[in-house]
Amino acid sequence: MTHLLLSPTGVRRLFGLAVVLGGLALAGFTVVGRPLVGVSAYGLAMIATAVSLLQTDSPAFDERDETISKEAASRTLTVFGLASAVVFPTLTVAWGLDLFEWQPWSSAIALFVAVLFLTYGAFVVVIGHRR
Amino acid sequence: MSTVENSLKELREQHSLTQRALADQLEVTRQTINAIERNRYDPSAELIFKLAHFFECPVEDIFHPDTGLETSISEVE
Repeated sequence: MTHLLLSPTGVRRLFGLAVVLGGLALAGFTVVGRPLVGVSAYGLAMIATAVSLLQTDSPAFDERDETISKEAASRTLTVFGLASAVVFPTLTVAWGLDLFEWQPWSSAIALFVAVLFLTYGAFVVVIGHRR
Repeated sequence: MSTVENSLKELREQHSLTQRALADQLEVTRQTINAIERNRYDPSAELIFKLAHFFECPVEDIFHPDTGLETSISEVE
């Protein structure tokens, strides 16, 4: 098999492009009622990300990328945490006062955030025990 | 911003290495070398020791705590 060798920077760009296009294709095709096409396009994009990493002899990602990813994850959790600490109690109070009705989408978001923080809490406990 | 300043750029240039060449030697990305040189990233202990080993010099010859950190270190001592 012939390898098309790219620079690590080229691989990083290709990887990022595949992730963005895959996500957009999944969301776009799902919205227009073609979810199977969206999933297929997303799958192909994910294969492209894996293949792109094989196209260079040098590391395309390293410890700095891991640090950036950890900081981004931490900030994301903070933003979701602050938003949910204000938004969901407010909506619950409004629901109690008959000013707000929970819809499937708002319930789904609330459940997603709850699961997100339960998962986070579980990892805090597990990792805390290991260290 | 990094709390530790460094002489990586000077050392690299003394050895006539490009950022890419040094990155390849240390198995990191060129972006990481660039970020360290610009004091925008504190490398891991592993990478710090790799750099010292590569340039065959003590860690202190490459990395220098900035004034604020030196003050806090002397307070501990």
